[in-house]
Order: sequence, then structure tokens, then C-alpha cells
Amino acid sequence: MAPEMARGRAPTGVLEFDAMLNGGFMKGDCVLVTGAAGTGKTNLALQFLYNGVTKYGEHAVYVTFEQMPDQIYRDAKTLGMNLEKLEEENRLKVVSTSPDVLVQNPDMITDFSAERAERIVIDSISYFELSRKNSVRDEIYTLIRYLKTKGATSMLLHEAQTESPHGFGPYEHGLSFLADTVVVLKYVEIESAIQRAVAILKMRGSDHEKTLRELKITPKGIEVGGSFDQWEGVLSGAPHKSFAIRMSKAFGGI
Amino acid sequence: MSTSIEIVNTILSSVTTVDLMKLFQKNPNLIDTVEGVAKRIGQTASQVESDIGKLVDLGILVKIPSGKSTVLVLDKKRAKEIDMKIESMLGLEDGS
Repeated sequence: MAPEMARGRAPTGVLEFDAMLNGGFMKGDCVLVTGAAGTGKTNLALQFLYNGVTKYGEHAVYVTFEQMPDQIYRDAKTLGMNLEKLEEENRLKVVSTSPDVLVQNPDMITDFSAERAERIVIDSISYFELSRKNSVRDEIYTLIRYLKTKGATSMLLHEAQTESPHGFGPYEHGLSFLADTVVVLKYVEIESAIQRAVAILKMRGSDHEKTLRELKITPKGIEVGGSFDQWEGVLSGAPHKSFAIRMSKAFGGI
Repeated sequence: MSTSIEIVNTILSSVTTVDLMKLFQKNPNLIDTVEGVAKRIGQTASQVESDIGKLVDLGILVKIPSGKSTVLVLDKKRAKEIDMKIESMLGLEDGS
């Protein structure tokens, strides 16, 4: 039996992550997911779409500016998601295009023959930076307005530059202001091991978890682990044991 | 209406036409300008224009006006018809 979808919410189907979001993204909102390459943006987006179709009966579109659909099908298959089957059933569409074409023809790309898409992923809006014709902010703003007018819950993936201040760059082009929800994925180094972390920086109109949580990519997809509560400065990329833990160790505690 | 042999001859008439066919077969929902399509196979718009024209004439690709430019999409039904024609032609040749 399909899990129940909380009223007004668009759950990702990743239970722990949905709990961080208080039940899922707000329906019809524009979500910005920002992170460096390999932090799990595409995996999160694929699960958001696949679960939206298979668990919640919605229609979905994945718009890609770079990857070929067969690469996306392959990546999804490694996580147990058969996107080709959903395409054959006309419940999901993987569309390759370029930013200019998307901005000029959003209907052609996001509409199905009879149904409209309720979940849309754009991978990635960093490609708008390559556009020379208009300002990036104007183009992204136009796109977000369109997606909101259509009532779709959209997820815009953004490739964060590692040299950005604080190690993440949702503030570039005012992106964090334009989006309703901002999710940050990042690498953190904990005791010489690289781990992934997820945080929700902003969620307009809803409460959400404020802690930074561990994010794992498993053969079954994304899993959200515990918080880094013994560490401080994780988001800055230079974590250190919290003062309380250091004091406890100094005085012979655990 | 082109015969199967004429269709195959057109598709095999240049490396670019074959590359375009492969691109759209792998990417049936591709929607892009001539310039964008050309970039995807490592060429420029002027280099691919005539080959795109051949595939448009065959009905495999369709040009749709889009703002100030034109976008190309695959006519999936026509592409399937042509696939079947070619397969049946190859089947006849195998049997001969």
C-alpha cells in the first residue's frame, strides 16, 4: 500500500529526510538543492521523482542539460529505479535540452499529452551561467515563476563551487532568495574520513529541522543518518570536536 | 514517399547523418536548437544544417518555431516506422 502523502506536502519518499522537512516539501514550491559534484544531488532528485510517481501517483519530468538519458537510466537502475518503464507508461519523462530552449518553450518540455507534470527536476541550473544572452538571475527567475504558475513542485539542482565562501554557494545570483526551500549537500571531513552531510537552510512557510545530518548513498538510495552533534564548524568544512566533548575528554570522561 | 533503400542511403550518406540518428535514438526526448544539436555531436550549426535538412525531409526530425529560433524534435512514430522498414529490408537481405 502506498504511504499517505501529508496534506499540502510533496514527500521525497526518503523517510528520514521527509521527517527533517516536517512531512516533505511544500507542494508547488521551488526547491534549490546545492552541493559539489558527487554529494548526492542527482540521487536525491531521482528519488524525489521516482517515489513521486510510484508511491504518490504523480507525473514527473527530469530535464537534463548535459547527461544523456541512458546515463540517467543507468544511474537510476543502480538504485533500483526503472525509469524507462515509467516513461513507457507515460508517467515520467526524461528530456534533454538547453537552458535557452527551456526558458522559451517550458510547456513543450514539461507537459504530458494529457496530464501536467506535478514534479519537475532541472539538472542543473548551473548551465544558465553559460548562457551569454541574458542575466542568469533573470532567466532563473523567469523559470521559477513559470514552474510556480504551473503548480509543480520543482527541484533545481545547483553545482556549488568548492571555492565559494563557506563551501556552498546558494547565495550566487540571489538563488537562495528566489527559491522557497534551500537544501545544502556537502562533504565533511571527520577524523580523516570523507562523509556527506545534508542541511535544510530555509523552508518558506514551514518549520524544518535545523541540524546538519549525515547523508549516506546506499544501493537502496539515499539514507539520512544522525546529526554531527559532537562536532562544531561542520558546515564551514573545518569541523572540530565541540567544547563540551573536549572538556569531558580532558577530565577523563568519554 | 521514399523507398527503404532511399531512406537507408540518405541516413548513410554522411557520418553526420548517422551521428544525428544515433543522438536522437539515444535521446528520443531531445528538444534543442540546430546549434544545440550540433554541439552535442561536436560540430557547428553550419556543418550540420544540410544533414538535418535530409532528416527533416524524411520526416524523422521535425522543426518547430520557438521564439526567435527553431527547435528540433524527433518524430518518434516516424522514426519507429523507418526502423521497422530498415529491419524488414535487412531481414529480406539476410534471407536472400
